Amino acid sequence: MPQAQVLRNRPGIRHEDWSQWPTIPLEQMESTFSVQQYIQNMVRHDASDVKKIVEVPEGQDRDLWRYELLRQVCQDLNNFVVLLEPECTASSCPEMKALEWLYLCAGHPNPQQCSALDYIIHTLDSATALLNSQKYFPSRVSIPPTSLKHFSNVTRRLYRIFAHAWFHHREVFTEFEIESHLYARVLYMIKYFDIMPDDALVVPADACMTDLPEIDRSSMVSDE
Amino acid sequence: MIVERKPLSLPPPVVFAPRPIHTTLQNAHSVVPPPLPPTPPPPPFDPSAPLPSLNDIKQGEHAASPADATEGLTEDTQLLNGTSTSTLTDTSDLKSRLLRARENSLRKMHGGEPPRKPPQYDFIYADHDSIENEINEFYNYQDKAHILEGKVLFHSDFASEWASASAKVRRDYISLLLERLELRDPEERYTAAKKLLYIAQGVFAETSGQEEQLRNIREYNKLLFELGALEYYFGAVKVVSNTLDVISRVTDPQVTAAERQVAMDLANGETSVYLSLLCLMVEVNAKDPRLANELMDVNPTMAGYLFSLVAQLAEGNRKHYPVKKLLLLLWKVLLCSVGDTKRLKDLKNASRAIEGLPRSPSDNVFLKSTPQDYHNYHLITATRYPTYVTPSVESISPAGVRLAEPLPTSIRRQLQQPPLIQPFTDANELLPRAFQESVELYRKHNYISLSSVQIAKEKARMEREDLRKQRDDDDTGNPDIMDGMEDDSISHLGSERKRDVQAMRPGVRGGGKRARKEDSAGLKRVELLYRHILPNMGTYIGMLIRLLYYVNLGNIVNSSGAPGKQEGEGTNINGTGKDTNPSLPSPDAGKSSWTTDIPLSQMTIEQKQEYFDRVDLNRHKEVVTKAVSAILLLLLKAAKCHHALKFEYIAQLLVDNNCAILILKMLSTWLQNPPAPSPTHSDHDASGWPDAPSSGSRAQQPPYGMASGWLSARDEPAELNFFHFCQANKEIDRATSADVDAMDVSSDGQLSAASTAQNGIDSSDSTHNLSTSNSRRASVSTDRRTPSCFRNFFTAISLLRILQKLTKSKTHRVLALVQWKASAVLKRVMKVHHVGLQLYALKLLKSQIPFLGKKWRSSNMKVITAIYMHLRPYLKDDFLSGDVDVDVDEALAQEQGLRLLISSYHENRYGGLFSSSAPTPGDGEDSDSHVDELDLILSLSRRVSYDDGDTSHVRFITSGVRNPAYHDHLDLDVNFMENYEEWLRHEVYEPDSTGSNALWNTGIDVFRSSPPNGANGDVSPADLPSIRPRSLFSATQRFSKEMLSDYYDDTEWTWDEDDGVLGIGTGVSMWDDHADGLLSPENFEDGEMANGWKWHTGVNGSTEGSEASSDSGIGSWEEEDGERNRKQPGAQEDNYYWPDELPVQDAYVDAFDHTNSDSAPEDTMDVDGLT
Repeated sequence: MPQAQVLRNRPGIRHEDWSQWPTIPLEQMESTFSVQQYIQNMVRHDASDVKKIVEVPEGQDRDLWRYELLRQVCQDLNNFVVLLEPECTASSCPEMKALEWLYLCAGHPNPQQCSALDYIIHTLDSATALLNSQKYFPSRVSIPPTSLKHFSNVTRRLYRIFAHAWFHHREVFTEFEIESHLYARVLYMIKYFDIMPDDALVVPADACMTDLPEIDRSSMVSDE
Repeated sequence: MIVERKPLSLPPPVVFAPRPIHTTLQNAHSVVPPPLPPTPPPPPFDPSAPLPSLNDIKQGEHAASPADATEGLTEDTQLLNGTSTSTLTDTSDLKSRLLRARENSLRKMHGGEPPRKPPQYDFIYADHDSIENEINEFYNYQDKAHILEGKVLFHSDFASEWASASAKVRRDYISLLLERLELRDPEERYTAAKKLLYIAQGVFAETSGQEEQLRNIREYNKLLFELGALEYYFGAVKVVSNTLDVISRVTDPQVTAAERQVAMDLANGETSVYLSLLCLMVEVNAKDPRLANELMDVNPTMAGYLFSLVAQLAEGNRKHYPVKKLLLLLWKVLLCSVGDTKRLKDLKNASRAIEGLPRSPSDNVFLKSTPQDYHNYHLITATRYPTYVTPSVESISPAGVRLAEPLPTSIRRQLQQPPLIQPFTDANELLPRAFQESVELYRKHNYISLSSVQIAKEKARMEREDLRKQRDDDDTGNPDIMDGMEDDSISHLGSERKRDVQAMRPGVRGGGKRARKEDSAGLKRVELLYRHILPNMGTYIGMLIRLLYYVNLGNIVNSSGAPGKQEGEGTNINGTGKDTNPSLPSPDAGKSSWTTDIPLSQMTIEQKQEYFDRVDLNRHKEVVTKAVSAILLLLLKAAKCHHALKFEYIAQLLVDNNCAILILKMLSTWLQNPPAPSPTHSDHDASGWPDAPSSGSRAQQPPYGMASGWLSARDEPAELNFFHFCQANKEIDRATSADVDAMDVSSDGQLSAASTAQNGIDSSDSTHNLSTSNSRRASVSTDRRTPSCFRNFFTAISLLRILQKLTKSKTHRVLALVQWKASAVLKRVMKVHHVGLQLYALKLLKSQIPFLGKKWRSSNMKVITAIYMHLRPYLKDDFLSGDVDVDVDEALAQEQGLRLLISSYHENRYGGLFSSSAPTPGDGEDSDSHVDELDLILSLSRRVSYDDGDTSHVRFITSGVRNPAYHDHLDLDVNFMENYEEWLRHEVYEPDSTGSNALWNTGIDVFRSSPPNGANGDVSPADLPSIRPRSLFSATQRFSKEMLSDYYDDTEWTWDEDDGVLGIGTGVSMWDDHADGLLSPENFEDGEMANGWKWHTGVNGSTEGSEASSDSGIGSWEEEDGERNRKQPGAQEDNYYWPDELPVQDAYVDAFDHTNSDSAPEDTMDVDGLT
């Protein structure tokens, strides 16, 4: 008799067993957070397969999927910040710059200028706070239509983190990208959901360490 | 011979009764007063005829009245409800019939000749004007450079045609631009914003006409809204406002004023673009419920943030700031987030439901009576006829509405009459029929207002709290007093929350009626907004009122007193980046601009320029006034829907800021002359007006009276019309796209003079009469009504409504109106033939009539007739019978009780708000450091509302009303208890007559009661408020019957309609002398006024004469036309001051002693901050 699946890291677990539980198909998951678990599973399984991670599976709510993807991106970005921290300091990057653009930090009551790392942390914090706020996202089963507009705002701001790292801390960027393929995921997500115009995507596509799949526009659920 | 004895047959009596429907703003335009039938001559007296028996009379009555009454009723209801198509024809039919009848009767009266009619305005009240007009008013003449610039920038950047671009291309492009708004580089942001603005303006170069452009504007702004542009705009506004704030605070001597001005102009220009973007978005999407939510969702709420921007106007230099745009936007945002008239009515009903009251009946309730009325009746019957027992008041007002105590004097007097004991009471009949009937009447018309219930509940709460406090005090004052207090407030907060929850969850029966979901959301929004603006409410209100003052009266002062330079500054409050032509202003620019002698087509370019500037300035003033009045009115209305005490607080602030007298003054200025009938009026048929005169020929018409000039539509030159301008400049000059950079943000942000001149020439070729308002109105004005100027009508009505809301059933404030002789102004309002406008003047007059004296009533019967015709009567309407025995103390006590209640409510509900929101360094200063000289008068009472910073705010309200004489919440300070003998000696036994008289003459007691710092005397300043009861309205304490009879002999105001000239007799001068004695800005020396201008004249505002205030004497008001010369102070004394008062001069001196010793450092600091 198979043991009940415990999808959890027990205290005292060995390093090689860390998160090594088998993936189960989405349909068989019964938890409230099935979508999150499923996405995490896939990321753990093969982070470079962005197509599989990003595209909405059959029968899933598109908005909910976007929401969970974004949550996951925020979570994974924290690792990135840890890598950036020694490199990107208030003295090395006193302002948030990406290519030639300088940005003001929107994480304050009045937008103001922050050093790049502060900008990154503030942005990430405010994005996390927003995605976890009871007001805008009271449930993880359905997303109120009025909150949809936040997705693109959050994505745009998060994107700038990549842009900054790409233009100013390329080694960290590459190092992180090889391991996590996070930029590839975000980029594919942006394209797939058509969140930002192509002109605004300043980081070239070959920054990705994996081949970005073509987007099959015809299969997409268009929101026009 | 048989003598046939006919019963005396009289024609059926013509009962002059109020119409069964009272007039409201909504039906004002459809109501034409029915002609009064001529009274038939009485039949010759026949002494032989027997007296008619009672039966005859009864029969006659039955035959005539019921049928008439019902008929009238149904007809009128149809008239009112004439929205459905079936009744529509009836209505128009009826209307035309009435019109014809009226005309006939008039003709008869005037011997066949149709009389010269005063203009009938076609104004129809609405919450806002048409979208075209609103947009037009939003732009300035100087904005054209920006508009063109946006066009060039856009087309040089966006290669293909926007109209044919695919949805995706558009979205991408907009997203890209929005993204740019978060950049740090102001130039990048500015450029992106200008392109966005061009899109929001409908990409007019690709349109074929105004209709298409308007369609585009709607479409594109919807798209922008979908794309979440609001948040970006808002972020950008915050950034640029911050920048502006920083710039204006720079005190680095290295930076020259000119440099700073350049930087500020840049920021101002940017602000202006964002405000335009926001305004277009709000204007177009106003109907979208999501917008209302988003406006509240942003942090901080949009309206709250805009309020804080308004408050910042007072800080330092804001030259060239787009004030008008800011105010208009604020108004629109408020309108959108709290709702228009209809929404507010729903909200009110929702609030009523929460309090357990039935829905408010529709507007056309004929009669109202309050529980108080019934209570009075009940008391009187109980005293006078002790054998009869009428049901107690609880039977008709289950909500436990508290009743006034002490009773009104008139009732008390009736109660003093001896009881009438009837010996033969029929034991079977408990209550005689007559009594039953009257009880029934009271019951039938009973109406319990929301505010009465809310106030009653709050009173009960306050008393409970006091009781508890007292008990705790008796309990040896042990330390758990605090706990007890805390508990109480918490439990109360709990109940308040319950109320909110109830509002939110409609299912949980809130007093039986469900509050609809959107209503509860609306209520929540009002609450949120209120909570947000409450900590600085005093500043906001004060600032708005100062703006009103400046825009309308400040200029007059300037023109008569200050050198031309000042005027030049003044005209440019809002000119975004366009330097004023130094030769520009004739002093009364606003007034004469409509009567230029030269036709427009013959003007030189310079003249044209000047002409446009003047017209634009005039429009600017009117629009600012309109926006401010609308904001204030909307605030009052919205607050009232939520809780009566919120409303009362705002009203109190307005009163303390002297809003009432300012409104009166403005109205009296605008309506100076009688509206003479338009000489060309009869030539205009329905379609005649719009294509009538070009601005040139228009100017050749004999000038109207001012009132009508101010109220009737004007042909604004096409050059000032936004749409016209866009259409005239729509060719895309791609060649110039190369030198965008050259054009781009040149230092002062204006196009080269050449191109501006070019525009002038271009557009002067086209028609001058283009005025969207007129073309719109053409369809409306069917019956030869004079086209009206929407914004001025709107302003006037709003102001009157504000005044009415401030004074409604507040005897103390009504008395102040009486003392200011408001009736003279209101009668001028009555001269304007528009029912909607008259309506509120009538309401105001009605409230004053009891105090105006018999003579006034007998000489103003027309007013009284109009009141009967238009206003809803009350069951116990005793405004005519009420005698003039004014109990001033009672009125004052009422006012103070109210203030106490207000402060208790706010302390209880928002107590944390004041302490927690400790003002940030930036915000904190503004409340006090900006007591500049601008408006000595206004600032005097302003101090009441925000004295030393914000935290003392609530405390101060409380202390201000702690009045030992008038209520039992006597809270004597320890310090006072110890030093009361000293106080007695000072204040009672050796009254310093000069001081005290003077003080309350001018309302300067405030200084006395709260010197900002430094103690005088033995009693510490903090105690003074509690020991110096003061009239809240200065001199009204002295108000008494004798004065009324002496001074309200107003035969000089008699008002003869037919001569068409308002009695510009002494009545007017009485008014002017009187009101202006208090308000007249001319009481200041010129130098001082220069300072008064500084908040927007900025760097160049001279700073000399900051000490001049101390020796400024009082002068009389000079009419700006200079007809009357400055009088000697002594001469005016007998006109205005009561004989036993001291000349007001002393009052000022006295006041200034205080000002100078106490607050001079602040004032000078303020001045320094500017330079």
